Amino acid sequence: MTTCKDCDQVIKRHGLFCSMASFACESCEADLCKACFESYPLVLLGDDDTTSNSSGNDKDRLKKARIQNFCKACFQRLSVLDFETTYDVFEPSIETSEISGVTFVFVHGGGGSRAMFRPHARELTARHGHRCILVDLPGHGSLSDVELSLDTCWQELKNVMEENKIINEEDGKRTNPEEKVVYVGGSLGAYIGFYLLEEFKGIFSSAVLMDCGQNVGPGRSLKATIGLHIYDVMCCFALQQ
Amino acid sequence: MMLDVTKKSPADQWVIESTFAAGWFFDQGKEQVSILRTIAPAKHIPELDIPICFMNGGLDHRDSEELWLNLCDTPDEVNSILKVYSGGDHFFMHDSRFVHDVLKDMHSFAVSN
Repeated sequence: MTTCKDCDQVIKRHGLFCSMASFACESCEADLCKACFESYPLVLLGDDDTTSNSSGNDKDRLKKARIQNFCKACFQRLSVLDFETTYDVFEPSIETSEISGVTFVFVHGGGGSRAMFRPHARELTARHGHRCILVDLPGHGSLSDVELSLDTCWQELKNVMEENKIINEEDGKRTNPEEKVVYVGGSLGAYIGFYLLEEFKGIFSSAVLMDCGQNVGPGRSLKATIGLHIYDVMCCFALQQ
Repeated sequence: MMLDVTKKSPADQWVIESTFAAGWFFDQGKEQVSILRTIAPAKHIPELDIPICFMNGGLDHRDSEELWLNLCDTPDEVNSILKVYSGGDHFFMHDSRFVHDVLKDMHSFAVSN
């Protein structure tokens, strides 16, 4: 009898053909049930995948890339995300660039992680000396086990801003009023941004909101309603795979 | 699911590092949709007193961007802007045709506001 490494369920094998199917982590080779086997897919960065690549040839590499399936532990070890922390900070180098006095706080889109804007943050820091902070939303990345809600998003952003001295723990006000703090949200991060920017009024100097040109909230169009429904169904389908 | 989406998109810049090598997280897709259904930008925007730079791909769904832009500023202070990257889709910020303009626009907007 074999049990799944991730969910501890007994792996049932039915019939001759099914017994030939093997679902094992492609790193540690531990047995996984079919559902868990497809829960943690990754494309591993190759030796030639320099993180500072700016030539824009990912499309070709993606054609050759192979999605590999891992157990949860190997997924967390092999992902480019560090699961020991919930956010990344890119600080300008004092030797190589001037410190601009601008801090970007990046909030990613649905289904993604703080890696979504990592290359952009790296470029903004290197080119202009901006500090960049990239957070994982609850329900995503290192916080995938945390419930996603507007309240938990607010709490996480508050924690990150306190830890990075953007706001004081005591009164929640800006620690350095001279610093420009810019909220950057993509898609889900942009829509949540409308809420967070109001909750953190007086903290952000400006905001860059991407991929939020459609009203998907109250009063949305039929087209948007259908789009949300399709997204909902696709997420359920992905989970059942 | 993400692979299928990306195959249809012209996005080609940093997509492996940003998405495929990090993993994707749809376990709480229902909660994502629930939040999206809740947020009413037209109610929040008038309460904000900061300039907003909206960035959208020209091929993405865009039925409210002009409305929201117009809600941003008072007649005395007009700093909010809308950038539409013609030919870009939902992943325009990972499209090599636009990514350097996006970075330049973000920098310019941040330092001037």
